Amino acid sequence: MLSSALKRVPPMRDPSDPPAIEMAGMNKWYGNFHVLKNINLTVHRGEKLVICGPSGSGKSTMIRCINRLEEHQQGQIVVEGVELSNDLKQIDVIRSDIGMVFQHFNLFPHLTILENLTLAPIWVRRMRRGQAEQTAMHYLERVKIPDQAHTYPGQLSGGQQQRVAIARALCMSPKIILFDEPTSALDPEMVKEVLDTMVALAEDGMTMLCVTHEMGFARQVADRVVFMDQGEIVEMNTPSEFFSHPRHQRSKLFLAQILN
Amino acid sequence: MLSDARTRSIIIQCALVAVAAAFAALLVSTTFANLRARGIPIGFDFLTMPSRIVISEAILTYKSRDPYYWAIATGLANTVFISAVVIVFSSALGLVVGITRLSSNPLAAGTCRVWVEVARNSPPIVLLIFLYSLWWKVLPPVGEALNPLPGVYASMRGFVVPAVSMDVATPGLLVIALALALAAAGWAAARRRWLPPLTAPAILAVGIAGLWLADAKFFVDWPTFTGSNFKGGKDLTPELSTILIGLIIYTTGFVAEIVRGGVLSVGRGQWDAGHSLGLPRGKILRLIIIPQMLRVIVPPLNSQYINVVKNSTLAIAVGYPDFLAVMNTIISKSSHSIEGVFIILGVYLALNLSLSSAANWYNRRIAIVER
Repeated sequence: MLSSALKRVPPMRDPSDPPAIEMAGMNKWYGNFHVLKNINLTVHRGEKLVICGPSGSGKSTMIRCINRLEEHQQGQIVVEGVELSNDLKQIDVIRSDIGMVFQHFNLFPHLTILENLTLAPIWVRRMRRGQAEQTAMHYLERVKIPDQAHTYPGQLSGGQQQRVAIARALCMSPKIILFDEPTSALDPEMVKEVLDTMVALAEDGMTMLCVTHEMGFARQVADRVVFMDQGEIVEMNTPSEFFSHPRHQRSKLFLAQILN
Repeated sequence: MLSDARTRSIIIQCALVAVAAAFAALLVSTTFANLRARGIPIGFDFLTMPSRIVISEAILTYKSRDPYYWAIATGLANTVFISAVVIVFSSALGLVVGITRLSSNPLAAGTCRVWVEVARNSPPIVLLIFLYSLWWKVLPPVGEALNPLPGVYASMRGFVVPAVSMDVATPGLLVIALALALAAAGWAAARRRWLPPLTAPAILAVGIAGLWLADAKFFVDWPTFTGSNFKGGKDLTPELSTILIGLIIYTTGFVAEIVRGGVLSVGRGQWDAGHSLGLPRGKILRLIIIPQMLRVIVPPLNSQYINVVKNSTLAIAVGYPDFLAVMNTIISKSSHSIEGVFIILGVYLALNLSLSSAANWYNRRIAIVER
């Protein structure tokens, strides 16, 4: 389905360069329910991670902890050298550097596509309207829907809405983009257009964490695949190793279920 | 031919209209005959005659030798004034109280919850009578008036506040500046559904510059105590204060619940999206949540506004001369009860229908565009 001609070059790394994201001994509970158990994960700049696992395994919760849409109770999360704490100002700064694309797009239905894209640059980055609109049009061209700039989200197809959501995240020139099951709510014929947009983004060297069941995408783009089950990271490996030689029983079972 | 659906329905409708018309004609002719037999005059001629009734306080200028129609207009102005003040203040307060109820601060949320529960669960007339009785139980006589803010006095005789008046050397310039500021605001609001940063301060600056250029001077008439009463300032009688404060407390409770429901009706995902872009909570509320909640809350809010107009008739309980109270006096004085009741019905119907059509217009304007 996807072109596999893309050559994957491991990102060049300067050892003194701080990692983009570092989670150490991170735990989270919902009441008595232990959702995330001792998560240790380091993501370097320019790295692309695909996170998979059965539903309820804590994948979404984990990436939502990275921009503090969910609070963790124990351990450390350091994003671009800044530790996540209760400091609201700091959280807003970190959030503005992390783009997020949601399963259900979460576009603002009362604003036009262009206004959806310029809202945060104007109100958070204090960009001038003209400049924000120029940037927005640039990214709308990249996701191939510049002609829809003055329509409303409700007038677009699911695939188009998700591409707008990606453009909205890009308008803030984020250092990291989190994808939370970006294709799960789409009709099958629209999955490809969104995945193609994500592949193009990966080729540009964006740091990406992607919760998805699109194993073709994982094979093509991911540097590492993270497999989670019951709140734990069970296995973490390159896609070729993970798909050909899964080491854990739970990974094998999961792969057998989704690949058939 | 009688089996044709269209023809049959036309025949049935004509028959129904004929029956209704005959019934109405019977009512009207009997009423007229009975009134004539008792020697009671009918017609609206009395409206131009001097009323000789007393209206204890009024927004308009009214004297007892004015004709009946002016007495009616005076009562109507009082009702419109009460309703407008209550609607404006309870909308603003309701927005704050409704949103604060969802706050994570337990003290703030709890306080607002108490307000909502008290307001929603007490009959408005009990609230009004309770508040009215406080004037004599809690507040001191006029000689020992409380002075909570400079120039503001509270005593058994009500509130006295400073009166502000304005003197403008060149009113033309001021009108131009205000018109410019209004036009800029209107243009910005029409083009965008939200204003970019600095638009509001810029519009405000134009207004202030206009005031300064036009050399506007403000005069404040401070109330002073003269031994037996206050001179100067503006009087707010206990009656007017009670009906305003009581209805504002009462209506705010309902508006707050509507607002709370409205905020909750906007999906969690909209908050997530706003947070993920780095927008602080206040801006998410203002730019994302409130604009979307408006389309949900306008219809129930409109019912509340209609209730305010209807509840303003409770002014009679504290002796404030609202439209209904004035009409009651007019009816007993002039003995034109049928005409009076028709005027009452017509006025409340017109007030509430105008409110509804304004709300419908606004609702259409903010509707979300779907495919």
